[in-house]
Order: sequence, then structure tokens, then C-alpha cells
Amino acid sequence: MPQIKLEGLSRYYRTGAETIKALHNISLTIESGEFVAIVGPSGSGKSTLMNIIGCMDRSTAGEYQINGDAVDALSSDRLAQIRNSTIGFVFQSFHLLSRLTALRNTELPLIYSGTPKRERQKRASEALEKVGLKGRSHHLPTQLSGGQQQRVAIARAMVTQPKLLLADEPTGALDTHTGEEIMSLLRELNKGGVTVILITHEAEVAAYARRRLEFRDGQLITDSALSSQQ
Amino acid sequence: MKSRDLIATAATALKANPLRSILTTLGIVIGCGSVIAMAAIGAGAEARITEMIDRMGSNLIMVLPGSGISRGASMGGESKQSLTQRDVDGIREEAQYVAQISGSISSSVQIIAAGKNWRTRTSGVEKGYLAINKWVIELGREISEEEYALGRKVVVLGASVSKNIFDDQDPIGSTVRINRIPFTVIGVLEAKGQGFGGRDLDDETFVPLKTMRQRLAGKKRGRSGHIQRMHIEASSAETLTETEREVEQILRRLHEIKEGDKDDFRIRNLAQMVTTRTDTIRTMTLLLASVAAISLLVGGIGIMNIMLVTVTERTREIGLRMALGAKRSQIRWQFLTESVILSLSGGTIGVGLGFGASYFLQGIDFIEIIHQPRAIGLAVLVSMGVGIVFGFYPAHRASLMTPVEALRSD
Repeated sequence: MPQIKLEGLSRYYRTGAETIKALHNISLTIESGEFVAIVGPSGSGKSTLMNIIGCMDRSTAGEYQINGDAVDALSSDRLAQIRNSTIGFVFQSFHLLSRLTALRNTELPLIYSGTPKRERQKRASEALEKVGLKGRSHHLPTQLSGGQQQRVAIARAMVTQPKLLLADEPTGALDTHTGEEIMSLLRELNKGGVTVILITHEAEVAAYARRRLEFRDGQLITDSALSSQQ
Repeated sequence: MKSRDLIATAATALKANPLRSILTTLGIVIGCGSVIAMAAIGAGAEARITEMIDRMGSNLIMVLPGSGISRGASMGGESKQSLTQRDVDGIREEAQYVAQISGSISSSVQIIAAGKNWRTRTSGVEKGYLAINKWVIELGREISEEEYALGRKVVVLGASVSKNIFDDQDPIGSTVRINRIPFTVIGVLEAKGQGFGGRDLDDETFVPLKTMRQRLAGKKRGRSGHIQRMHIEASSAETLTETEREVEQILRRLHEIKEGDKDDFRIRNLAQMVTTRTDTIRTMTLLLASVAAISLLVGGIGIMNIMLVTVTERTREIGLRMALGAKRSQIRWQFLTESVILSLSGGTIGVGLGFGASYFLQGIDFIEIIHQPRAIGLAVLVSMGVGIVFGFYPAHRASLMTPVEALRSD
């Protein structure tokens, strides 16, 4: 069973009289453990696809299955649970809560899964340690560099040990060197068995992936395997 | 999600904007403070009424002169000298429901004894007066029938007068000069304490009515046969109304008042008098109640307003929390917890201020304060209710956001 399966999936938006076809008739499968880069110019529908895969948005037509579950049939509570336990998110602008320390930011997903405080703190510290921020647990986001903030976000995404990591332009707000560090970190996670789906428009970043999906005007135009890795 | 986490999350959010949080709670603070003060004043007034009635007897009736009217302008209560000794005697002979009756005349006097000087009030009374008004002799004896009949120069002192002139010495048998006329002290009354308005009820002296007329009341008032008021004890508390009606009928006949004309005297029972006097306090309580209600309403709207602002400001945070796995209900609970914490802390501060205000109000003469710990429960419940009612809509709005749109907002 593929981890992700899309069948004729479309997502339309209505703005006034006009209908925008953000995604049109997409069919694809992603197996567990893959490292996929979704590329394409802005407005090509890659973010919409990411939102749908991340169970944050629903499709207009077609079917989406995650681990064999048809997402359209699930309640919003069940979707929240899937986002909590099976998916980790990394965003371009980090989305850390500025009034919380690195540790407490990392803890957030565990609060919603009802994990007891002590275990929560233990797992959050471990996650921060894995991204190389052991000594920064009690820093506020403003006291951290961009790269460090993105590491906290990755720690937060991984703290529930999800099988799928969705990264939307994770290096977009970082300089090249820091971006490379973040990408190496994602590659490490992928080697550990986590499926990584990455949105980017930079070729160097996409080169970390082993499969490349190119989107244009809401349609998947090429699906190619990348042989080499950096 | 555990309630402890909800509270911790909400507290962190509120601490991020301390001034805003404090200002938001102000309405609730005032509202709950008023509830506490109101309860204390209300309870004090109730207690005072009960105590007053216990102390003075529930079947006491007073008859006062009517208010005179001179050229269309009311001269105020007791301005008319419409009551006479003949009225008192008439009621005493005819009325069936009257157990005891006494007329009285009062006057402000100067008492001198043992080199001390005291200004107080003296009332000339008839036999039965002390019993009707629940005065109890502590030292010595009451005025005897003979002393009443012959108008002897004897005096019974109120506890405060005795204390001020004789200190702890036994005054019985001593001579005091009341307006320079020597009187023999034959008794001291048991203390009654404070009456309404903080007036010292024990700052009083009593002499036989006849003596009062002849020696102290002044020639005009003394000879005329007028009296200032009558104190009547009804035979029982149940027949109070009948007694009042009977007294009114007798007085109307004696005063030759035609049918349809108004009484030239006023009949009051103690319950009525106490009620009139506590009206001020009731008004105050009512005022506080409206302050409480309005403040709580305004405070609630203030909380709702701030919570709506908060929800809008934190749209991205809501989106992020949803992306990380927060259910709609958890988002709703988070914001509801914030508004309840706001209103509850306002309530708590209000309870403190309310008690503070009660202590302050205690200094005012006519207000009696009885602190009501039970009101704390009420205030806390009310403030919590306000938080829930006015916090629900903003919290519900937050929970209805979709994660994608919330995350995308700026």
C-alpha cells in the first residue's frame, strides 16, 4: 500500500464568477521512505497540493488516500489527529510562537496528543538534541538565528515521530550555507526512514531529492527519478 | 489536551499583554467588588432591623403629632401640638387592645454633679414607659407610683450618662442638678448600645412626666397639658393593626375630626419606622446592585471585544496549532480558558476590593457592615459565568477557522 495515493485529484477555487483551477486531475503515488521534490513556478499549484497532502485542505474532486484511509471521508477531528501523529510540517517562515522557548515550541504537538508533561519535555529535548540545538532549549525564537529557528521547527515537526515530513520552501528564508545545513538535516531524517516531501523552486535544493515532480498551471507535467545525490 | 496545559497556554498568552489583560478585567473588578460590598451592606441592614425590633419590642406603637400646615407650607413632622394628656387618658380608659400607654415630653438639658457637666436629653414619662420601650433597670429601682403621682424630683439615668458623670461609682442616692434643679438618682438603666445613625441610645435620662411639666419643660409647654408623643404597647404583636385602628378612632373622636378629614396625628409602629430609616441603606444597596450589573455587563463586553481582537491577531497561531494537530474543540477551549481566566482574576481582585470597600464604608455612621463570605462564592461564579458567556463567541469563531487560510493570513 502506498503511503500517499492521489486519484484524479482537483482543487478549484471560486473567486466571483471565475473558477481557478489550482490543481487539475492529479494522479500520483508516493511510497514510504521516498524523498520527493515538488518544483514549479509560483501559482503552479504546488502549495495547494502540499496543503491537501497535509490534510489541511480538502480536494474539490478526486480521491486522496493516506495509508489507505480516504481523507475525504474523515472528520475534522480525525484529520487533526492525522496531522498530529503522522505528518510533520516545516514552513518557509518557521512559524514559531514568539513568546515560547525553543523547548516549549517543540512540545506543542505533544500537548495536543495529550502526552504527560514530563514525557513531553523529555521527547522535546531529545528532538532538539537531534537537530543540534541541545544548549538552546530555553532560548526564545528572537534569540536564535534563522537557521536555528528552522531547526527548532524541524524538531517540532519530528517530535511526534511522524512517518511523513512536509517542507514548504524550508530554505527560502535562509542564506545558501544555512540552507545546505537544513537540507542535510532533512536528508538525515529521510535516511532514518521518514518520507520527505519538499516544495522548492531552487534547483540545488531539489537536487537533494531522489524524485522530482514538476508542476505547471495546476498540472503535473513531469515525474522523474533523480539518480545522483549531492 | 489536559486542563493544566490549557491553563498554562492561556496564562502565557495573557502574560504577553499584561496591561491589556489588566485593563480588560476592570469592569469585572468593579462588578464583583460591588457584589461583595452590596452583600455586606445588605446583611448589615437586615441585622440592624432585626436587632432594633428585638430591642424595642415588636408590638410598640408610637403616636406623633401631625405636621402643621401654615399658609400652605408644611411645617414638618411634630410641628403641631395636637396631642394632649386628655388623649392619653382617653386611650388608657377606652382602648381594649392597648396593654400599656405613656405620654412623654423630651427636652435637652444640662446635668451637673460631682463637678462634672453633661449635656443630654431628659424625657418626662408616665408609668409603663420604661417597660413599653424595653428598658431594664440595672441598678437601683424604677420610679414609684407615688413619685409619678406627686411629681417627685427623682431621675433614672441611662448607662452613658451614669458612666460620664459618675464613672464607675455607684450613683444611687446621689443628687444631680438638671438645669440647676436638684434631682435624686434612684436608678440606672442597662445599656442598649447604638441606635440608628450611630446615636447613643443610652445618652438619656427619665423623670416623672409631672415633674417634667412643673420643673423642666418651661412654663408654656409645662402648663398647657400638651405631650410630644405617646408610646403604646399592643396587647400582642398579632393585634397590632387592630390596636392602631382603635387608637386612631379614639383620637379622631377626641379631636372632633369630621369624617373625610385628615388625622392631625400620626401613628407609627416600630416595623414601619425601622423600614423608613433603612430606606437609605436599601437605596444604597440597590445602587450598588445596578453598578454591579452594569459593570459586569460592560466588563463582559470588554472581554468579548478583547478576545475578538486576540483571535484576529493570532489567526496565524491558530492555523499553526491546527497544523500541529489541534482539534477545533481544543482551539475553542483554549480561547474560552483565556476569557475565563481574565474574568476570574478580575473577580478575585474585585472580591478583595469589595472587602476593602466594606471596611471603608464601616466608617460611615448609618451603614452597618456584616461581611458575607458566601458572597465570594457568588462573585466567583458570576465572574466565571461572564467569562464563559462573553468568551464563547470569540472562541467559537477561532475554532471555525480553516488551517490553510489561518496560516496564510498576515
